[in-house]
Amino acid sequence: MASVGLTPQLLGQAFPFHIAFKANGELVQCGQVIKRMCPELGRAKLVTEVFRIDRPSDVELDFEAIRAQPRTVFILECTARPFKLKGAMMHLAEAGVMLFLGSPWISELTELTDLGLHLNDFAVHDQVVDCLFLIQSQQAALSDVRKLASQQSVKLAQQQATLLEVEKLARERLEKELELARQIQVGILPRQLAAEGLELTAYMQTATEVGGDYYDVLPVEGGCWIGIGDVSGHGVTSGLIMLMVQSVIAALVAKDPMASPRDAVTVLNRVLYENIRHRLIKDDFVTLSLLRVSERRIVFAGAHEEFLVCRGRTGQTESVATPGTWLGVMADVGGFTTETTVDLEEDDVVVLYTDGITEARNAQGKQYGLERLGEAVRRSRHAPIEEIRDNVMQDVASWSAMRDDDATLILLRRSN
Amino acid sequence: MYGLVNKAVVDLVTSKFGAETWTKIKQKADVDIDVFVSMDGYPDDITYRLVGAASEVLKITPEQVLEAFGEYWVLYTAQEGYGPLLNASGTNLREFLMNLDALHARVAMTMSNLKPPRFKVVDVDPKTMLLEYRSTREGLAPMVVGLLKGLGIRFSTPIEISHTKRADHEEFKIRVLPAA
Repeated sequence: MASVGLTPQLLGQAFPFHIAFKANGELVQCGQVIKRMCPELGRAKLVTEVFRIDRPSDVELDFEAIRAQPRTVFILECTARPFKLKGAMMHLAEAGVMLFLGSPWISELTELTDLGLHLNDFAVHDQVVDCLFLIQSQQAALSDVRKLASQQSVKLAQQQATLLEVEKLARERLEKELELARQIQVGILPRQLAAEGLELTAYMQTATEVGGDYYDVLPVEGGCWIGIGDVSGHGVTSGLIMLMVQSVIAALVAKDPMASPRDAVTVLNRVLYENIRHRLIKDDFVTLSLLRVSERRIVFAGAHEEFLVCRGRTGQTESVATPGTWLGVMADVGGFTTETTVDLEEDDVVVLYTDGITEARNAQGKQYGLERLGEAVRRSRHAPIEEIRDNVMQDVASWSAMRDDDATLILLRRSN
Repeated sequence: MYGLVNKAVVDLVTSKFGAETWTKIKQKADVDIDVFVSMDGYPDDITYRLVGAASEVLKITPEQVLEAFGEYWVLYTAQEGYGPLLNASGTNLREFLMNLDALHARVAMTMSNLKPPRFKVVDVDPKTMLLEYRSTREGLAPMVVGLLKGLGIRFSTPIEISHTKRADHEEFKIRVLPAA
């Protein structure tokens, strides 16, 4: 088969960046484009005047050293101009010449401009330019991804800001409602506690978090009526229910100060049941003990916390159960409501409270409890009634720093 | 068309008329794409619909839209990182046009679905040349006019363009005017 060779002109076209040199380093010829890139090449005698080998790093630009490295990628660095060439060294044995065939080693499009290279300067078969396009398209893809990512994070931040704003508004609304409920709760408390033949004092602490405590004292001839209880839930609905409880009891007592507490509780339940279930359409309920108190006797009905009677003479503390059921849950509680009578003697102290007192927890999670309450009252049972109250509240405070629930305490004693 | 083309349309409209106008055009064209991906292919139909909608919203003819877009394309590709390649493709208008097919052939290396137009330069006299344009796509000749205008600006070469429809191609006669 006939073979073809390349004339120096064709070699120049096929390899515009080629360099040929002899065993002694003498330059034989080079491509037109490389000559333009490095005008010093045209004047140089030896290849080593304008080039050195960058890689392999341990090979000198020496004929024999290069010959010993067949099939190696060479990177030539121009020492006169800032560029490198990448390619192969071919040993033409017959001519005694080493031929470098390669292209500028560039990795960014901008280097084309820096080196003053045009697309026409590259041989048509040269893939260096294709590589540059590839790199460019990679960068375009990357910048698209970055743009998308940043748009995404902006959107996310906006959504979060909106969400926070909505949450804040909801929280503010809730806070307003709780404040309103607290105003109702505190607003209907009796302003002055006074009852014929009785010393009376009360303490109430309201916590908006849980809330719902209710108490009332209605003075009547020869004594008073006392209500103490708890409305489920918190917020405006609880406040409204407290108003109902207060109004119904006040109306019943005004009509008949000597009414039966059992009857009063039964009527109150009927009103609450109708109003809560059928008008407000809620499922709230009330626990309440209603006491008719005279100098010598307490008659009561309705289920709330058991209460304490601290006997003045002996210092013995008795707890009195308050049997019954929730109010506002069923139409008629008559069958569950009983009336109980407790006789009072001189200096007996009656202690009414809500669970905020007895369930106050100390650092170890232990509840204050009924026993401690009874003991605190017993210790100071002969002191003025306000002093007993302050002692008890101090005792509770030293037991528990937490104030996360309503707490109510009512003390009463037969006057001397 | 590659996303790069549609991105250029977005960029042209938003930079000259604002994001709201772009939203209107997108709605009118019934195109529901927020971000075009440069190296992804999109149906030609999307680009044509955008041009049609832009014409309606901006109250100019589709030909004017295409011409404005052609002119912008030269600017846009340079700004999107292809500047050095444009530089390397020629130092004057004629050289650049001569290399246009080679440029597209290189681009096709990475955009394998590219259906680039074909350009051929025929010299008439030292001041005049004919550019023959062949494309598989219909109706984009006004865009070529815009491209030539953009290139005239790029190479600071004032030119006069006349367009003739030939049997199997479009022909643009380009006359270089004396520099102002």
